[in-house]
Amino acid sequence: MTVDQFIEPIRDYIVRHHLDGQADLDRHTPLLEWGVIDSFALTEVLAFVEDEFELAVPAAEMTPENLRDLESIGALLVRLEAG
Amino acid sequence: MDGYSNGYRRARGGELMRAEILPDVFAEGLHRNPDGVAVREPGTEITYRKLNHLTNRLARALLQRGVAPGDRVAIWLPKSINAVAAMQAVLRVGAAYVPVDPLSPTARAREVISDCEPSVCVTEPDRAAVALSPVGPVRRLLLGEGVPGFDDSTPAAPIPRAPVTRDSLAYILYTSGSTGRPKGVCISHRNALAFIEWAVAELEPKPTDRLSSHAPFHFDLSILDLYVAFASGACVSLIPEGLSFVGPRLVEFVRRERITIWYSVPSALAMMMDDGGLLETGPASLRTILFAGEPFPVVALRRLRAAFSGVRMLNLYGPTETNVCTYHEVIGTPGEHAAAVPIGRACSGDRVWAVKDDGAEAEIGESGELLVDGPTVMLGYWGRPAHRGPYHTGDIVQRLDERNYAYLGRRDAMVKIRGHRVELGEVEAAVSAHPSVREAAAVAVGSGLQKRLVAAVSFREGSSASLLELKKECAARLPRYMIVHGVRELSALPRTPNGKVDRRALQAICEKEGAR
Repeated sequence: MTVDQFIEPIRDYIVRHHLDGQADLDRHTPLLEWGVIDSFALTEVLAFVEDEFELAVPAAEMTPENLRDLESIGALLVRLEAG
Repeated sequence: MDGYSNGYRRARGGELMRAEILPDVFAEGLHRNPDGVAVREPGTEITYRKLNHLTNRLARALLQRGVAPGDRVAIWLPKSINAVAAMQAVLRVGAAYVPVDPLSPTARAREVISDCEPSVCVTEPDRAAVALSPVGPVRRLLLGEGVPGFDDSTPAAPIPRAPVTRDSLAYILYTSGSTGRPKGVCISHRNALAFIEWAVAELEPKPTDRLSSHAPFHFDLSILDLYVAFASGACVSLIPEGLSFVGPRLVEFVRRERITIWYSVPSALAMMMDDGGLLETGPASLRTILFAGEPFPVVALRRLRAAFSGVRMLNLYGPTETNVCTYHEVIGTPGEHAAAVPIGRACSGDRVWAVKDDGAEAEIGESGELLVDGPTVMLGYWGRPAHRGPYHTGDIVQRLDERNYAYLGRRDAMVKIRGHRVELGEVEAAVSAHPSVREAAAVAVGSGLQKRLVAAVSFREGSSASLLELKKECAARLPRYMIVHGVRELSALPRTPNGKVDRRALQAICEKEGAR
């Protein structure tokens, strides 16, 4: 899958569950820095990723850099999928 | 001699920690375990001997930049060995350190740095421009890279003992302020040592112990991590900012670092239980778990207790202004229907009591505001008159028996989010800064560890703002835990007959309907 293919469903999920359905979230919006997702929301997002793409993010990859924005999450998932 | 070190003497059978002032605590570790590891951070570690040299080099660099006893030095660095050395170096030259949240937005960091009027700011090159800006009064910097001192732990000559006393200022911790601006809590050497000596006596750390350092350095929980380790020549393992919010990584950290004494807010432990598999893969190294900062829900504590039956657990309590002033040891598993975990009884040489609205002391079974008096009570807030007399915590407690208390709630608008103190006025000021907002009020909805901040907002006519835009506005001014979780749009805020915002009505609206 491409970065974009990963990003879209995750973006929809975050907008629906953490931004009251308002769609002004773009791929470079800082998710942690702006409090879009906190530690509890992060768990939910990662559970969604696992369900949706059957990809588990290992603990070692849960870094602020990898989770900074949709773009970096997408890039991480592309990398994980490639193994 | 004043009575505050009795606890320590008792535990050590007369072997006193030779701490007259706070930097002596590190000297104690150096004396006990010079070649043992003092501090670990991911990928590296440093022995007491080398950390001592590094500290001396930094202290010399501070002296060269004109730092004098009584000055403040802001430390705006990521959590690191360098930050620890910088704090010790500041103490060594007789100045007071002011840790600045490395994750806070620049506007807030600047606010803290300009408020405490430091003679030097120790920071990294990419933050220097902010610290030096016209808004801040800092004229001298000590940079974390490229300056002789950092990353150099070759032997360095010791620094002459600075002329400070137990009552001198040792550090300032900034907390959320009810006026909409952060306020600096001034802690003296005496204040800090009273708590540290109690904690050392109670926890009996050994040079073989590994303490976690979960709390950031601007948060008072970090005092125990650093100084209890130093007092005994033990090792403290720093958890970098980026790791502290991910449950699985925290559990992995405890296992990899073979942590023996863990200390954090209950939220972090809950995260480790719920997402990190802490209970299933319970690290065997743990011998003591400490928590503070917010009530630990009994349901969660029962699970923790069941999985770690042999581990000592203590609930510590105290606002930043008094450090830890009460404690309760969790013995056995709390009953299924037990009320909150008690905050327990006085410690650190303090006296605590509850006062009812009529001014009388609460009897057993009654509730009132908790007052604290004794050696841990702060000098005062920075820039304001010195504090005198007992400290009024603003916490409503119930007196359980002769000496023990249970926390019931607050008497003002202050709330706790993941153990962090949040004055709603600061959140309201940040949300109101958005040009579309006519007025805003913030409330905390939910309970226990699920508590979240919601802003009730009325917008100017013809304008609006999304939740994301308001989060962005908060993120530019506030630490992350103070960013609103949700927004409830109202045509006008509910008012009481005398025109004040009706917080009770607001709470009901926000609880009932949740965020917009």
